[in-house]
Amino acid sequence: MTTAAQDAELLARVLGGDHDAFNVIMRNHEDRVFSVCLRIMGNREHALDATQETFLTAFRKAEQFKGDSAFGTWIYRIAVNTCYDQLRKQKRRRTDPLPEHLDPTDHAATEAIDSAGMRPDIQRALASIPDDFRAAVVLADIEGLGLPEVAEILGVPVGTVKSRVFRGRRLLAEVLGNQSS
Amino acid sequence: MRDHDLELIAALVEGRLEDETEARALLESSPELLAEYEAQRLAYEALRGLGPMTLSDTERARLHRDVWTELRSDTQAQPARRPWYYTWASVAAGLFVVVGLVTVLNQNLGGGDEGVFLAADQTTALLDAPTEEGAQSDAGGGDGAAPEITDDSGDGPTATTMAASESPPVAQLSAEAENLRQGEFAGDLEPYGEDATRSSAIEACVERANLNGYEVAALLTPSEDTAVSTTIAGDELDGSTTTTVAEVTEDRLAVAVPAGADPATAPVAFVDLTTCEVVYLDE
Repeated sequence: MTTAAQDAELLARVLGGDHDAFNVIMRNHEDRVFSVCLRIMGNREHALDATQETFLTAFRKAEQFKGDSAFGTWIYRIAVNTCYDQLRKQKRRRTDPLPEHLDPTDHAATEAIDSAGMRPDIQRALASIPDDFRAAVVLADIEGLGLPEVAEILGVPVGTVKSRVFRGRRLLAEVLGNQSS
Repeated sequence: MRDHDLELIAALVEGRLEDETEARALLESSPELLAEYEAQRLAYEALRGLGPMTLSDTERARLHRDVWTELRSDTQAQPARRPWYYTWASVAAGLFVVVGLVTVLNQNLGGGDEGVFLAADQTTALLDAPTEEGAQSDAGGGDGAAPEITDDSGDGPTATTMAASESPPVAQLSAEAENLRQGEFAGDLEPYGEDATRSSAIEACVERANLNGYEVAALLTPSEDTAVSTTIAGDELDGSTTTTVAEVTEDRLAVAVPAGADPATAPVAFVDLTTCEVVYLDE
């Protein structure tokens, strides 16, 4: 049975009241969702919050999943939108700034990035580019998704995804170049 | 730089070209394109070199625990709060009865000053009865008129009608719902515009209205032009008292539809952004 078919069967069981099936869905997708959230949010704690919110939304909206796209695509879309939303909230609050707002000498920022378990230089560069570009390069270049799927997740045309990936890489290269010099 | 050149560079960077001759020749012909290629390659290889990220055992356990704690609390959801228009509906019902009685009494007594005084005397005494009637209607919940938006069962919101179903807002909002379905909506179809900071508050408001699974499709600003108004208890002795929805809500209505639903047939909910209550659900 394919993953998509498994997901469809599990989702049908969830809608039928079988909550254990949702645990299986979570186990099947939680690492990938967490990975995307972590790359976008840049912080494990925030990524975990976004992952939790993603699965809550998926459960609550399960009956709206019509199978037009793969379940993985659908849940990625929820994850990216959840991350966008949480980033906006963080920016509004300004009490818990993202690494991109912090001075490079800020040790708290460095620790937050290090604790993400990622190469700090790359994560710092990722955090410095606009959210839209970051989501596009995370999905296309890190997660390795095809451009049509990224377009479906982000809800934009493929051409827009190409442009965002291209420009995102260019900005990343500038930041990485400056960091190394 | 032409789009074709950039496309070629991207394909070369990602290793998608079977024959790289054209792309390599292009890079040799232009230092600018070569610099672009180097930048793209640097970023792409850095990103591709990142390993997969996974949850730690502790994080995984916490994720499952927190998700199920939250979902269990959903099933113990609070009953829907009484919408603001219930109060107005009760008052409206009461005042309509008063007006009717005053009219009848005036006719019976010949319409003179005495009749007016009698009517005024009657007002206080008569106000209670219809108000209680309205309150019973609120509490009863079995007459089909009370709106009830609950999502405990996961079945989504039930059909809702306003208590004062004949009042203009219902017809107006129903018309707006139909306009939305037909693509002729007069309100703001880009609810958040460029201001992303509004989105969260509006979405939270819709969520508080127990419209799980719904998303904001538009905002409606009641105004004289759109004439979303409700006549509340016109006292025919002193002239009609009219309160617009704009005055009641002070702001806007969010227009929400189920996420992913067919726009042409989807139910349309109107949420008062001041109280975060469903004002009207058009199915």
